[in-house]
Amino acid sequence: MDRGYTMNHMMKGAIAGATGIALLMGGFGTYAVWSDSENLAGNGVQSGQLNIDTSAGTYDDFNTVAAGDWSASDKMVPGDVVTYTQEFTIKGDGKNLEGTISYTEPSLTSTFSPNLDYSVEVTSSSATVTETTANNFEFDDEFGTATLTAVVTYELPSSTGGTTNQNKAATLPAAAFTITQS
Amino acid sequence: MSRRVPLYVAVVGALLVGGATTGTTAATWTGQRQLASNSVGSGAMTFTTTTPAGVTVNRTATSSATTTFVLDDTSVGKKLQQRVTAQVASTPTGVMATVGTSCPGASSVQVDTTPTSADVSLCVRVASSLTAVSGTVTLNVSGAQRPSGWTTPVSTVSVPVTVGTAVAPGAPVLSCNSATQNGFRWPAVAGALDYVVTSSTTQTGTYTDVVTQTQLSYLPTVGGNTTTFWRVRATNVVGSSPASNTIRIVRSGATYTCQAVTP
Repeated sequence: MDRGYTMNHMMKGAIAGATGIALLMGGFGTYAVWSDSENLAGNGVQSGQLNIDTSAGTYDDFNTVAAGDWSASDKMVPGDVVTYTQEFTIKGDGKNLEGTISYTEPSLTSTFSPNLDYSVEVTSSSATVTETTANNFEFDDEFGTATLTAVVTYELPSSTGGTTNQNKAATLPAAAFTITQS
Repeated sequence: MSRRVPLYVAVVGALLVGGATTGTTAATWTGQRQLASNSVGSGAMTFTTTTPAGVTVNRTATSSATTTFVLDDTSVGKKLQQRVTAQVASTPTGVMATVGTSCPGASSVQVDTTPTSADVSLCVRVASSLTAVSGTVTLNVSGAQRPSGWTTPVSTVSVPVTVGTAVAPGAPVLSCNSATQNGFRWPAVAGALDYVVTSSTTQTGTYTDVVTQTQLSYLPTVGGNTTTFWRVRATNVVGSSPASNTIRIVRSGATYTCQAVTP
């Protein structure tokens, strides 16, 4: 009994050992396969810009060659033409950028009677920023950097006679230029 | 009905969410800058004049006097140019007046000024006549902007004129030329226009007019070894002065002796 029992156990051990070796050999064989790879390239996005900035305006005596030869405290007389010029720097970058620039001209506050002649004219340095209605603009593409020049012109006609319109004043109130993406 | 309430709530909620989502899509870029407030003002064109002093003239054809007044451009205006015209508007009977930047001037004068110009002094000359009467010379002064534009109201400048009665001049006072002794001279007499030189061969004899002149000295031609007596009268439009004192000139050969004698 003891001898038979021992043999049976030896057989079982041999079979288990052979099975383990076979399994181990089979496991090593799974590393040996074809392989390949490609990078998803580095990528990113960036935003554009849309803004408007301005600098201080300047007065000028339109009838002279010199620039900026007028001040807010100078007094007009018949025949004088005075301008006030203020530049706006606008920037618009963005592949699909579209938008508008709007300005609503305020009413002139004036004691002149009859009123002196005045006008507000705005021009764009960019062909992409085009005028739609008086002093209002639109753009349907990015335009980089451009300049809007606003010129306010006041004229006291030389035909003003007698003592008409002496010691009078006129003021164009401040008003916003608004640039808006659409 | 009560079972539909949750449905209504769900629908309203969906609409609100949708509205919020739609609002989000309107959040676009925008920027704003102001065209600054700017203004202009007008000036005025004005001037002032001072009041001239009055003048006194005599009722003669040659009497005149001058006075002045100052013109000040008080305008306000950066580029204002004004032309001020002063014109004689009226004068008293028998009185003539002229005005200018210097005398005698003319019936009117134009002065170009600016607010920064120096004040301008204008001279008014008043001339009398035999028919002159006292009164006021009036000048109209007005400004006009150059080349065109404003004008000022006309203002007046008045010059009071007093016409006095003219009198004949006083008698000259003769004295010898101390060096040469061959002639004599006299100081100017107020109001005199001319001087009549007379001579006589005797001190108290009849004096005959020799020459009428404006000069204040005389060098007579005297024959050899003679004695002559000389007197001078001052004259104007009113008449002649009394005779002056007497000058006696004695020639002896080539030697002259001059002496003032009385009368």
